[in-house]
Amino acid sequence: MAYFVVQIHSEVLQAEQECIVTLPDTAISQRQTPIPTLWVLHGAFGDGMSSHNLVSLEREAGARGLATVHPSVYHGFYMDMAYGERWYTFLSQELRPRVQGLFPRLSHERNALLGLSLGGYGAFKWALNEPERFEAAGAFSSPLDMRLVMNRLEHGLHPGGHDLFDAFGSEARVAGSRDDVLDLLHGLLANGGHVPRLFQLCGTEDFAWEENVLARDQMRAMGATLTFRSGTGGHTNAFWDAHLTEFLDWLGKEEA
Amino acid sequence: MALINAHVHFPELTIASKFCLVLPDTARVHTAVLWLPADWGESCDSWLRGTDIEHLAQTYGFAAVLVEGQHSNYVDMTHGPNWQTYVTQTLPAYLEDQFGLSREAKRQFWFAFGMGGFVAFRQAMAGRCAAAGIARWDAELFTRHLTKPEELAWMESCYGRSFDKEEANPFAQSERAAMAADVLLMNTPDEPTYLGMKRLYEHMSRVGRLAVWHDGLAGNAYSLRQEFLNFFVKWAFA
Repeated sequence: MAYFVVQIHSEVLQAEQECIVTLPDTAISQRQTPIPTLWVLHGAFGDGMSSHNLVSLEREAGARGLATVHPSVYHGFYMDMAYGERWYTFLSQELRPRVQGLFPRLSHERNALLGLSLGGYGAFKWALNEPERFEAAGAFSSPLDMRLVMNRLEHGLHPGGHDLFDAFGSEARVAGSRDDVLDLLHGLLANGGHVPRLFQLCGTEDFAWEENVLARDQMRAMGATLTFRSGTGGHTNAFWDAHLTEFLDWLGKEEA
Repeated sequence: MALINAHVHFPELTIASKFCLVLPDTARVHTAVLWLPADWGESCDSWLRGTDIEHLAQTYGFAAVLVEGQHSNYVDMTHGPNWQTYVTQTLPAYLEDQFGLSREAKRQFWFAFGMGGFVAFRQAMAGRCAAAGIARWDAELFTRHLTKPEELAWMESCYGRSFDKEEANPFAQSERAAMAADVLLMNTPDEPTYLGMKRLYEHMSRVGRLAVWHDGLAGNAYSLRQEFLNFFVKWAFA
């Protein structure tokens, strides 16, 4: 794999930003083929390096001829924050086209998302907001129903604090907005819109296990076709790493 | 503009290579490309630390490729990696393919400080660039009588036991050149390589090559690198 650390000045954020891009070796030998791209979103308070640190990702993506892009949104929760920066606008409106401009071999047609922990919320949200742009999205141990999270937070029933309020504001602010993953999915299904393929993974010992099962059941009740995988494990890189090939195989198989 | 720090494995080089790109955001097929080979043992990012290359690239609208070559003189080493092939063929092809950078000679520019002069001069004499600027370069390496064991060992690792002085010697290269590009040679009188470069400049003038000379003010390597780069960029791009 070829590994690139990309630094740009963001007009949206008015600040220098960094992301990691990896290209498969097939990009050297099969020069004319646009490279399918997996956008990998890190968890809360992480950065592009923390998602790239998924040990087997570079090797397994490279073996499948996938490029990976690892943006950094740090504490931004993939949100245009209630009190903070416009991270979602940066990610979806600025970073994506600029990365695709800087690396012209990246496919514009074949894109998928994978998010770790909170990154899975970002992955589903981005895919459901731009369903024509992404073939699929995967969420590993992710809080997908942010209305529920904010409701619990407002009633003192959810861990976390001011950072979630800074990002999401309130349950009412999330409800029915482009930040409401379940509502976005419901809207697409109700209107007969194209829904990217969805993959959800969670460990049975994860603190977010019940939330994940609840979200899974809600999505299935809406009529969504959702691939759900689980296994013994917690909210750890080791668990995600052990299940990464399951996701990549799923991504490759159904694309073929 | 974007700054990209790259790590890529090329079979030609046999080791993982590092390079940096300073790139305009948009289409680059018509963009001029300034190649900046690092000096002896330096990292490719030495240009980022020692000059305002990002500002210059933005001001003059060129892309910059910052490469490194360890202690190779940027040749295909007899006892080491193929640095010349990597820098002058493999990497340009890769950058054209992956980033859309032009490989046309008329859009290529080289600026070197020290060891990078060997590849910059070779490219200029082969007509594979539009212009080259070279500062503080040991142009007379092949005409000096080398006696130090470490110098001889290094030359042998680069060029083999009986290295071909005529092939690598810039004086001979300038005589043989059929389609040479313009060359700007720069140095400061306090520098040991000053007279050798000056003699190369005079030799080039005698054999009909288009060479320009610029005397810099004495200073440390960092300030000179910036001064000479500024001078070259204005000369080549303004």
